[in-house]
Amino acid sequence: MSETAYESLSALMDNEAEDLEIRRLLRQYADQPELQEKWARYQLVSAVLGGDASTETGVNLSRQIAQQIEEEPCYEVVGGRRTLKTGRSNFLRPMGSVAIAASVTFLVVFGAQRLSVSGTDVIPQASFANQSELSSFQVEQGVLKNGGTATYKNGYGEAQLASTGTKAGNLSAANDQRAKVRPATVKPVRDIDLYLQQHARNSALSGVGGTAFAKTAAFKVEQ
Amino acid sequence: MQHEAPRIDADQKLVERVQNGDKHAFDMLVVKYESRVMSLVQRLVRDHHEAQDIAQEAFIKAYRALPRFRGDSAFYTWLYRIAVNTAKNHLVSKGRRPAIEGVELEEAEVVGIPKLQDIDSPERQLLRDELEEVIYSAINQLPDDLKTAITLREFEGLSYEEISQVMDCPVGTVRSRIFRAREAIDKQIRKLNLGDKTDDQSP
Repeated sequence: MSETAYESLSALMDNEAEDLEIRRLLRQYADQPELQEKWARYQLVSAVLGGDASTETGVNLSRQIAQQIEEEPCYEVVGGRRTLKTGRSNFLRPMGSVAIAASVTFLVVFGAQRLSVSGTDVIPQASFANQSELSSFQVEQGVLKNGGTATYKNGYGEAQLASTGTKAGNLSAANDQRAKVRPATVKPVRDIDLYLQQHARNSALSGVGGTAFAKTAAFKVEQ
Repeated sequence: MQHEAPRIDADQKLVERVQNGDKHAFDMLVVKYESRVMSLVQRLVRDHHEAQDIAQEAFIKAYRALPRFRGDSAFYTWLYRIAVNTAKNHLVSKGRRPAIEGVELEEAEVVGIPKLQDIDSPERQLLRDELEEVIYSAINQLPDDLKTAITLREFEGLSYEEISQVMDCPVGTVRSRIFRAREAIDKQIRKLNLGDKTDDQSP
């Protein structure tokens, strides 16, 4: 370690160091333990000479603090504003972005698969079961065609679904068939909603468009 | 302490370096103030290990709050306030009272708080006494020009420019003399092996 650096350190103690010296010192400070120790001893002497008789001797918090600070974001000035940037290496940033993108992609694909499956087998069967359960709940169930609008009546109320009626009616008939097979149990209202949404989805897929689903969303329970 | 005033700008320079992303500048500030913050906190909580944790937390809080530090007050004043509040919050969370009620910054620095010697371990008290003795002895052994320069700087708080006028020499010479005086003192202090004697000691 050069004496020049130590002299700069001494000058910094007294606020007499130039900016260039400070920058040079800071560059060396990280890699020079002797410089760090010298700075600590200079400070200790100054504290004792400054009359701070109660100065703690041999305190060494800087190592632990430096480790914690390493995990903290460091500051940078961008366009006159002080902002945070991560303290970790920049090469990790793209990896983080890739990880997020992969997660989103996975969710989208997985969600699409779930929707695809539910659009064919699983959900309809569940809906049929629900419907059969509703029938056991002594509700009037069926499809009443009112000029293209299918009206479902049950114990919980009445829902109107936009539909041409034809395919919805077929679906309803199939539901009635399966309802006879399924045992009857009591199910909550959310099952009805599931069924109605499924029905609307099927209607939409059959060429009716999004109106059915929109009406389902506006479904109101009538007591 | 007269010599504190000029330090504000030196701290401000380091603070600005931290605010521009240089974490090592904050490390220098930590080293500069750790013993004083530790001393302050220990007077409030008394327990040495607790004081270490609180002092550490105070520095981390200070780092996080540094972007909001505008330099309206001295950095050490701002830092001491954080340390006092951190210590108070710690005591409140533990259902305890500060060693001294109603501790304010001024009190923490000057009056109303027991001297650290009163609550410190005999070992550390002995070490501190030894340190003072070594420092003053080293100063007394300095050549007159070095002794005058370091005395005017450390005890009177004069700037290099003012010292150069008093001693009738160039500023560069003052700078060199103060550095050499510090090196002579440092040479004696190194013999104490402060780190080895104080690590992991508690009252």
